[in-house]
Amino acid sequence: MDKFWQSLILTFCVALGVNLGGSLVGALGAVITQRPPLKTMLELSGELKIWALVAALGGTFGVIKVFEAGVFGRQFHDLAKQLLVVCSAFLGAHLGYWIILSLGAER
Amino acid sequence: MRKIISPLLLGILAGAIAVSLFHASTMEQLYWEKEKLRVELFETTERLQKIESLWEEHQEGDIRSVSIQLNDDLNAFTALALRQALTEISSGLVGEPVENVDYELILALFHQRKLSVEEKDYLITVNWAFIAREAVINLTAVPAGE
Repeated sequence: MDKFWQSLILTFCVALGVNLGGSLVGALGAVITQRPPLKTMLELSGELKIWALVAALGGTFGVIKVFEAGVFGRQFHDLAKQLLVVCSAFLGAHLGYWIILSLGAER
Repeated sequence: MRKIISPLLLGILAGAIAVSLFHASTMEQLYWEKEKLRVELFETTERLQKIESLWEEHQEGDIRSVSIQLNDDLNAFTALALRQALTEISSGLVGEPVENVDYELILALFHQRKLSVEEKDYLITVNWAFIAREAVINLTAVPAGE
């Protein structure tokens, strides 16, 4: 598999995992501390969306540097690739949020 | 050793998450009921304190209790918190002689008042108020800015 596709899938899975894992284990924490588990889980999932994105992208300035190089260095191919990686991370985080939301809504 | 402990811990964690998810709705319901009972206890304690002080003073014709009727489309947690805040505000009325109650004051206390709950502001509107020994105040709460 192409390295780009690998990175795309990895980013998606990391973002999904951060959101799902954070919310589910957070709900467990809510149970231990006697707080409402579903409410806490839904709140956490919403809050973790952006952090899942950051964690999946590496939390460094690498992405921003690629954007800078893409815009000012006219390397539009790299810029498009990086945008796809960001989109993939966002989709992963949002899918996690959606799963948690449906899990909470059904109950 | 590590090969045994790590899957075991992972299993415990997965099991705990599964159990907490399975019982989440029941626990949520219990939490909600506990909060509701807490507010009811608060209301009853306030009323009891006022009635006790009334009893000591042997005064007749005073307001014995204030019942807050809240019309809202808000979630249960927000409604409960608002109800508690409104009960706190209205608790001053208990013990006041009915004939001496200033209606304008009641209106000023609640009408168009902004209350903050969970970092959000809510606007309270008085629909009607019935002032007797068992006073009833009907209010509407909407998120401020709507």
